[in-house]
Amino acid sequence: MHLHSQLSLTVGQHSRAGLKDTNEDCIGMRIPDQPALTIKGAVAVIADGVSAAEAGKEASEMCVRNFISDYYATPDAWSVKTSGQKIVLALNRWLVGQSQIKGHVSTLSALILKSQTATIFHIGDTRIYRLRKGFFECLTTDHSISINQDTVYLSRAMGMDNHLEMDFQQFDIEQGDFYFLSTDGVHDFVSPKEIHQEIENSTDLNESCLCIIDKALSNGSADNLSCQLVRVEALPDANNQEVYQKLSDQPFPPPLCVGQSLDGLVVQKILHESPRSQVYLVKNPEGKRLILKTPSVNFDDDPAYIERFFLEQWIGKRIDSPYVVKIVEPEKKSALYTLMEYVDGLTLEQWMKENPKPDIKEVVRLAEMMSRGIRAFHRKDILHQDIKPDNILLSIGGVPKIIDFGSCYAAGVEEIETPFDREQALGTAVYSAPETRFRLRKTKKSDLFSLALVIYEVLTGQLPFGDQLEKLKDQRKLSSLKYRSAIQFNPMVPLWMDQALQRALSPQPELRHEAMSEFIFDLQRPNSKYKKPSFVPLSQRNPLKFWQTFSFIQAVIILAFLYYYCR
Amino acid sequence: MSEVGLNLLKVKEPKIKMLHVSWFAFFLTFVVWFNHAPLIGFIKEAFDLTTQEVKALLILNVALTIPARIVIGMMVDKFGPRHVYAGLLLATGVLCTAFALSQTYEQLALFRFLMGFVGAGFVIGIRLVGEWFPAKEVGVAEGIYGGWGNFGSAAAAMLMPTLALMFGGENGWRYALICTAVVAFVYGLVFFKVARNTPKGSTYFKPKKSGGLQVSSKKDLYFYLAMNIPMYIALAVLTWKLSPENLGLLNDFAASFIYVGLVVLFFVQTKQIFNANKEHLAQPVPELQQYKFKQVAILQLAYFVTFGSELAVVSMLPLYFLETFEGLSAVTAGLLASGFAFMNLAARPGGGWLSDKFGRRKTLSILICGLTVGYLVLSQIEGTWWIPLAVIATMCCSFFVQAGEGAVFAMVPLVKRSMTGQIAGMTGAYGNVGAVIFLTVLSFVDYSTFFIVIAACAAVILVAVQFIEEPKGHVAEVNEDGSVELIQVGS
Repeated sequence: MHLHSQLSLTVGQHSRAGLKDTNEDCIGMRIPDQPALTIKGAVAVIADGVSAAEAGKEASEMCVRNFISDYYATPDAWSVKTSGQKIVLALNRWLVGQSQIKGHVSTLSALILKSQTATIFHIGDTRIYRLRKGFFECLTTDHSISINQDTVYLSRAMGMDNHLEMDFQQFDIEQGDFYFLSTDGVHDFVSPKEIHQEIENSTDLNESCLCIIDKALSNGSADNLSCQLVRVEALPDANNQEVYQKLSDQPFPPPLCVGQSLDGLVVQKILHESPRSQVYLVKNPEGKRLILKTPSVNFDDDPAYIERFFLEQWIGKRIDSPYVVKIVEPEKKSALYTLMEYVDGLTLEQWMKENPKPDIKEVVRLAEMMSRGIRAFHRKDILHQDIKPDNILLSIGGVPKIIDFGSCYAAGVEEIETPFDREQALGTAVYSAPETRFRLRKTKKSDLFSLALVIYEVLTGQLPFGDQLEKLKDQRKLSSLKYRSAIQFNPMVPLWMDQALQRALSPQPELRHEAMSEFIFDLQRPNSKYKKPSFVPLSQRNPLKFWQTFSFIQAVIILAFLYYYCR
Repeated sequence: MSEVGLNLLKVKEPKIKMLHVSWFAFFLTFVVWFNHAPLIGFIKEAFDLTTQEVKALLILNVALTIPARIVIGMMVDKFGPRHVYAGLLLATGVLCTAFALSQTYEQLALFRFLMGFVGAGFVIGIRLVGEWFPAKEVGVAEGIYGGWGNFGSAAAAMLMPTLALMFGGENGWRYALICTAVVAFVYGLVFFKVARNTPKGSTYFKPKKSGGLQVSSKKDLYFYLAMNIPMYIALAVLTWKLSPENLGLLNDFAASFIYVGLVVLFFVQTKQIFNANKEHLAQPVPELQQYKFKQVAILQLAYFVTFGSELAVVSMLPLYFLETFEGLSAVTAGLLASGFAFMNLAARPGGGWLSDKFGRRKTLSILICGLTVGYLVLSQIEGTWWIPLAVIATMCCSFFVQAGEGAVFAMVPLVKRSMTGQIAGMTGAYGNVGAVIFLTVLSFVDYSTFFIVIAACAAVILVAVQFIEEPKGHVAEVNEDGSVELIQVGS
């Protein structure tokens, strides 16, 4: 993962009370240092506290301050959309709560520039304009209702209602773009044309903000006046040489033999070698056993592979769960590799072989812990995408740990542009949800599918669709996948569990459980909805038979008529 | 560096099993591809063919392989090695049976031409082996695959005449051919049952865009285009050979049609190459992605003279022995000729090993030098020679030829890792171009001149090899205490 390309911006802003006593507007910006600039991007926020509300000033300040600080406090792997949504929801809930006592209502318009994408969150009548290639346009819509010429009411704002409808949009940034954020005290009194002219010829953005505000004042604005200007000087990756340089900085270790050492880590055993990577059991100088994963020299000039290898460590370091294996930071690192904690135990694959008839309660316990591991990924907006018995280690104490982050999809990272095509994991044919394989929209439900499949296999030693899933070549044939009841392979499986599995294993994601926890809950106790096999009409159970019967009856009727009339 | 040894007896281990399964598939394709050579004496007699017609058959056999490699490569992308290899083996069985049952020279020629497809099997197995072996073993595994598979032509040379005699009668050779066809067909079914495209439970990634090779500069782009021209020339020469002016297997219309087709194909391919590189070359290529096309071109040339000459010699050697030494039976001639391909078992993997150990350029230079001398010696063989001496000469020569092939393929992955597949394909294609050109030469000149022409080509290529650069990169050094240190060399 490269975090070295730079988005370069110049900014300016100004806010003034104007003719009013207090300034209920609030503005804020942050252009963080690296790596946050690449990972989270730069933020500009403007808010206009509603004067009719008692605490408009507090509300607008709250919005701006919290939006910015909370945004940078969200997990690195979260996408801009996820981060923004969650913060705004929390913020709104708090404001609504406060409004019970004292009206906390404010508009909010936030602009986030990350990598090559701009994201806008907007509610109320503050505005965001964009000047691109001589074309100046307003990107936001005012959420207001005008009763008559003088009276305009805000129809939507922060702190008004628990049900929040926020405008969201994303688009590509271009070099030379200007973004202009303003409150109504400014844009109601200065025409877009004048603003356009001012910023087009601007040399100092702060100066321009002042000029625009002065103009609004002289045009008779009686409100608070605030505006912000952002100019995109350079987009990241304009110089992609640097990206490649960074990626090829660390050499690939050669294939190692038992007894050799790298950075003081002595190879004890070769655990796994494949065309993509090597995995070794090593001992560090303190005698502690660790797992060393090295990239395969097959890919030493493949930037997409190297980035993915970096990403694996990056993700590993950001997930903290007793059910996910931990990344260890080596003391010195002279080459490209990942170091992980050693888990003494078996892979679930081996465990299944040794326990062909496992205790149902034990399986439910494992399922619950595995789901916690997977949820640790999901909380960071990361999909694991490769849940399979080989990627789950069972420690001697019986605690499952998820390993191998090599196929993960991290939404927040995917937003960072690279000059090369990223590798896209399609999972393992036997365990991946169809949408992952066919590169459709993948969600947390895709990991749920894989988890359910693994549990099914642990319970029965069989696969729910036989080899149909593996052989499936065409996404249009999804419905040809026929679920085989787990009970026919293991009579000990309770009916409700089988039904929970069947639902989680629906080929269509929309038919699966909404959340991982719901599935676990269903596994643990009978769900009243499932107890009786629900009635399925014949037309769905066996369409062929249904239509055959239908046609046959029809034919009989037609023949009867024919006979009747010809007689 | 770590010593790599594959324990080939551990058949239980899936990857070793796959290696055996795939080299045997390749072996069979080679048996069938060259099963006509040792029987050519019988065929010549049965159809009362002229020597010119026989030589045309030999060329036809290798012609279609050049375009077939590309087609097979695309099919592997789409359907995976398992389906394609099984399909190829089944098709092989059918085509070979048809060849065996031919009643006229035209039929013989047609089916031999179609059987050129069989020669493209190499590509499939290379992909399969690459999926199963980790980086440190893949070189050895592919060496075994290639070397043992190529041994199939030796096996054909040894077995076919014997089989033909065992069946006896004037149609014995037909039964012998059908035998190999049946084996290939049955093995096609076995292969489908046993082979798997990837190890169980391996994670898939979205396949990278394949298509034209991406080069690093404008200059290299033109170099690349220029290197494609000989392939078209080889096919054009073949067409000319078959046209009314020469053998008359094609009429005027068909010949013109093929010429036009070749020109069109050339422009289509050129356009594709341009398209694949247009965006890529618009900005300077990052250093990590750079490589010199020169390296590819030299490897292509080296393979031209090594594998190209091997295919040509394997095709003509039984006939050559039969015609040069009086009183030899077809069986003995076949057996003696099998000596050439016999060396494959050890020489090809050995060449790779030498190249790893003693430096790329030095090894390749010495091997090509050796084969130049070897072919010069072969050109001196006369009917008066003591036969064992002649056989030893061919075997010595073939050692250098096949070790040279091994050395070339040991270097292929080092040119540009991420494009290894494409570079291997292009290099392999040049081997077939060599076969077509050398066999065409053979149809004009006598045997002695034929060997001298190969030797002359080799001498020229020896000069070209001097321009090859040792691959650079990070070199790992193992200290006495076993700790690995990484040292950056070159750049």
